[in-house]
Amino acid sequence: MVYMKIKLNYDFSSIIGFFIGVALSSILVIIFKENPADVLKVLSGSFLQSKFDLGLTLFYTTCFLFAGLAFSIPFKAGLFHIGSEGQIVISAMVAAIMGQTVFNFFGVVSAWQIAIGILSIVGISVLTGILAAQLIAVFKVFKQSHEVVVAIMLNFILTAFATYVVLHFYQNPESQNPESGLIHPAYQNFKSDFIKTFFDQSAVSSFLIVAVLTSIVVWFFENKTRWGLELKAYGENSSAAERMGISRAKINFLALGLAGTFSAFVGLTEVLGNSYQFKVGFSPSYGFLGIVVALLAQGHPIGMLVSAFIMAVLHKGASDLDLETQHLTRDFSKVLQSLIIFCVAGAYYINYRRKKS
Amino acid sequence: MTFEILMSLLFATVRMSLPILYASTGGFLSEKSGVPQIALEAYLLVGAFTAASVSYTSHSIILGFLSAGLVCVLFAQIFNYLILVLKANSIVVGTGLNLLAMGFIPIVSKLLFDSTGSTPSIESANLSHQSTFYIVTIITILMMCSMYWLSEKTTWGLQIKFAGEKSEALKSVGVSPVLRRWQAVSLAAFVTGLGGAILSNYLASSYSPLMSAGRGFIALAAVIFAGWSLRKTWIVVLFFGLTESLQIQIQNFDLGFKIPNEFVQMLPYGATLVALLVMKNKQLAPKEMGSVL
Amino acid sequence: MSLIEFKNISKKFGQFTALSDISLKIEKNTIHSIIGENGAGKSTLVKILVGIEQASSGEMSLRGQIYRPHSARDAFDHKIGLVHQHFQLADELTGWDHLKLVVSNQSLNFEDLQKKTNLILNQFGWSFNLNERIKTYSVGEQQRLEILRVLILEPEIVIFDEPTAVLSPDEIQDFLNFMFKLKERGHTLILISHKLAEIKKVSDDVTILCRGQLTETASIENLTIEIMAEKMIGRKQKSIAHNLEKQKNLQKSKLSIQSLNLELMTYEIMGVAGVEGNGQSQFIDQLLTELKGLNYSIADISEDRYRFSIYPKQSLIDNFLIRHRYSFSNLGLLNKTAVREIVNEIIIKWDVRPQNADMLMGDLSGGNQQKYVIGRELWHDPNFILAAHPSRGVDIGAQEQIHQALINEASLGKCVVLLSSDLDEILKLSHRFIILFKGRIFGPFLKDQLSLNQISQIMNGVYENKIEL
Repeated sequence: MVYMKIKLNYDFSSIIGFFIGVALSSILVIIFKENPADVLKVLSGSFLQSKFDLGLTLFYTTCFLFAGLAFSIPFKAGLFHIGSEGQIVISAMVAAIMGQTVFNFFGVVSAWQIAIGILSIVGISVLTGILAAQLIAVFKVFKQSHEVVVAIMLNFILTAFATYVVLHFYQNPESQNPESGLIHPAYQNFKSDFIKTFFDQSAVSSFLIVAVLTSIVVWFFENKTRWGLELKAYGENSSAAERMGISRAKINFLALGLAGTFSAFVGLTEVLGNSYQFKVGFSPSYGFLGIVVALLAQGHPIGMLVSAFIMAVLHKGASDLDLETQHLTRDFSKVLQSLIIFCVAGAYYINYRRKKS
Repeated sequence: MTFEILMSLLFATVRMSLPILYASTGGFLSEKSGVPQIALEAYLLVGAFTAASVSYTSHSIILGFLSAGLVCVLFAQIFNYLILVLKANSIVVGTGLNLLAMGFIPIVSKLLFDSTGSTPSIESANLSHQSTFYIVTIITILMMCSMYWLSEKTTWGLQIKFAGEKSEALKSVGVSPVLRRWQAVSLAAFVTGLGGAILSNYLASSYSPLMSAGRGFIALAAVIFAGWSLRKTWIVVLFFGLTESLQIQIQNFDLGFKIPNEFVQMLPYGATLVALLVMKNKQLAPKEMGSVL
Repeated sequence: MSLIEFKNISKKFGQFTALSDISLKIEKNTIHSIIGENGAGKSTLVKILVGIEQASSGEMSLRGQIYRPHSARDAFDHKIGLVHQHFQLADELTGWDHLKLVVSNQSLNFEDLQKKTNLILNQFGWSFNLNERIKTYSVGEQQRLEILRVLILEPEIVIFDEPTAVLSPDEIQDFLNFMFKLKERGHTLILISHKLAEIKKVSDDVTILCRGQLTETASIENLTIEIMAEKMIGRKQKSIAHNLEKQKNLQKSKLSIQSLNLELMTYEIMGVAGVEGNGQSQFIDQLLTELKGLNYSIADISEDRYRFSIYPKQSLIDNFLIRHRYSFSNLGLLNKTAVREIVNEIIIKWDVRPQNADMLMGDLSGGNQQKYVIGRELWHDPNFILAAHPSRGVDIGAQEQIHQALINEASLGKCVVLLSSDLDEILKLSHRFIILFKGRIFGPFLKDQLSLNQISQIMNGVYENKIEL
């Protein structure tokens, strides 16, 4: 059976799966003596309640978008990359630490100095994310280990390590919470950035724009560059690709290097663009939810703009359930997310197999 | 004096290893049949919560354990349906299962006990710790003997291995690999659920949020470290447990130095990475793990 | 009354008719061969017999009664056993594990299983260690284990699917003798093959399929190899124009492959013969590595199309672009505009069907895929051509086109290496050839330098311990 070549090339089963997931969740709430209609209203309306809420939703969108890209690029190269979580945490930690210390090197008087300082924070943080991701690549290339296993191990190791470093060396003296101190005020200038101000100082920042631009760049990379073509080729048939001169090492390191970069950007969005510090446990599993974002959009970078936003809306909505309902807590967002994962994964594969026959 | 330390260490090791022992057995069964299993964490949580709730309300430890296993089996059917019927990816679905457990349990807990924190202590239901100890011992010995016999000495066990190594061969003798995988995963969930029950009924006296604390993943690491061999897995589990109890003993007896908690936590994962680096364990993974049937 | 009878069996897959109105009889205690080209319908017919597929219409009878199996189990219950072409063995498990699996549905204890097994081993004079893991077995041993797995269940009817595809000439002779022994034992054998010489030696009756239709079913006495070949392809075979004699006046140059200690020549086809599994992959690997190091432009018609040559989910255009990406990229950016026209040219020149450049590679039939690959590989006028099993899976018409193309390329001054496990192909096309055995290179020999018997001996290791012939 031949594919119909629509420009969009999208397979609506994923969206259908998504809605089934949401529907199932709302039906589930009946068990908890809640009205599905009410729950749905909260879920879908929460993000619009105020500029602040919308801003917070857009902040989640930014993080989900980067996380989605971090999963989808390696996926196209044939890698199942679930190591984003650990990379997010470690690069956030590095950003927070650098934010506290780097001003000593560059000074914080002139705009130039501050700019270089911020660039160095970004640069080192991204480098950290890349290195963490390349660890997975090293195992894959030299030891043929399965990247899922290595990623799970690294997630734990990196998260524990980050916790250790922050709690033992950089604990915020002014707080009982497990968090680092604030980065230097000079580096907190995202506070005054126009997007944040527009949304009433909520979590969102210009990193949103960075995320959108990144999506576009990724689309361009995948479709218009030779490296993008090689990546796709390798992901589909690695033995043929290698025979045609596409290096296994190059693809692994490239794909995971890019993934590490995007993971780092999640950390930066949090540390430079939101809390200006490293809080233990700040990530509500961005890394894993990025998988759902990517699957929903079938890996299409522009489609992920939409799916990231949808996931953000739900995430925001679920956090309000605590207040708006009697029995449901914010844990319900996990239930919602898991049902969406199930339905999208199930629908995706039903359709894939239907097309194959 | 040192003898006491040693005995104390040994006892603590075995005690603390128990949930992981069960979870790793579950992981072994599932992966051997060709289904990658990262949802052990979910089964542990579900088992722990179920056991704590049922033991408390029914005043029976045995009922608590039994229901923990059964509820986990039911829970695993979501996984089975998605993986085996809809052919979805087991890592994605496993992640979903973990999230589901973590999200669902507090809500159920609130409904039943009006609290999202710990469940009521089973001690308050007049259940003696001593009898729990005997029950746990018996169940553990039973579990280990029966699982070993099942996987190594029965036709069923052989067929499970074929399901994970060469499912075609299984099909050609008229046995459905899908059926074997379904059975393996269900059994894995049951056993892991029992491990969860031990967590909340024996190692503690109630369920507290997220009390599995990554043990499900440590169990998976153990299976991989041990090269997907059941007996070796059990030894590795004890080894991991040893490091954890060592750290506590060191603290208790104040032997001068202290390894930060986080590094002890990291150890099973770091050790597995080292194993992957050094040994040729990849060859030992079941050839058809993750294959779509 | 015949043992098995097919009455007007037809099978359709959607629009495609795999089998059309097949009626034939298989007599008890005979060796009945079913022959035909790739895609003729042989496997489909057998799959219907063993219950893996169901006929769209028509009926089968077995031992005089209507027979409608719905699963492999049904066939097994009716005492039909199938020895697959592609072995179903798990590398990490042992021989005994595989036998135990097969009898797992019966209450047979291990001792009895051992007795049965040893009985069979003795009858056929086989000996190999069943405690070892499959990965230590040779190809011939693996096949014997597969056969054991089937025989242990005592089927009356045994079906062999392309059993000699991976055997050396001597092993093939052993196998044919084995067939006779099985017949003596009382079995009825069905042999699926396309190897006409073997069929002629061993069969009692032959059924010939061509494009889903039955073109002949008769006793072997009435059939010669030529008749069978003709009925298989539905037309007389074209003979290839051989320009091999005009070698003398050409300016040939040498191409030295250091790592293989082999000297190739331009204007020449060098054949590489040998039974599969004797170092072909390593040979190709070393050859390609050295050539790429010397910056030769290469046509790589790989030994395994699915593994090395095609991307099923990509279009024909993208399949071309990936292969020739450096010719169509500038500073890392792709330039797709010229590609479409080139692909269309290839499609026309090589008669790739359907003629649609946007079609996905995976939707093409095997033969068309191969033709496309060859067209793609020859596009950039390479100096060196590696043709590995170039006509495997391809029907006779396309085979001829491929063979002719290779000869043309050689006559234009290219250096061609033809690697094949089909000795006929090698001897037909090569100017010189070598033989691979266990990684060793024997030769090069001139075309008529050795007799068929000598070649077979080398292929089978008779000269293994000798340094010189």
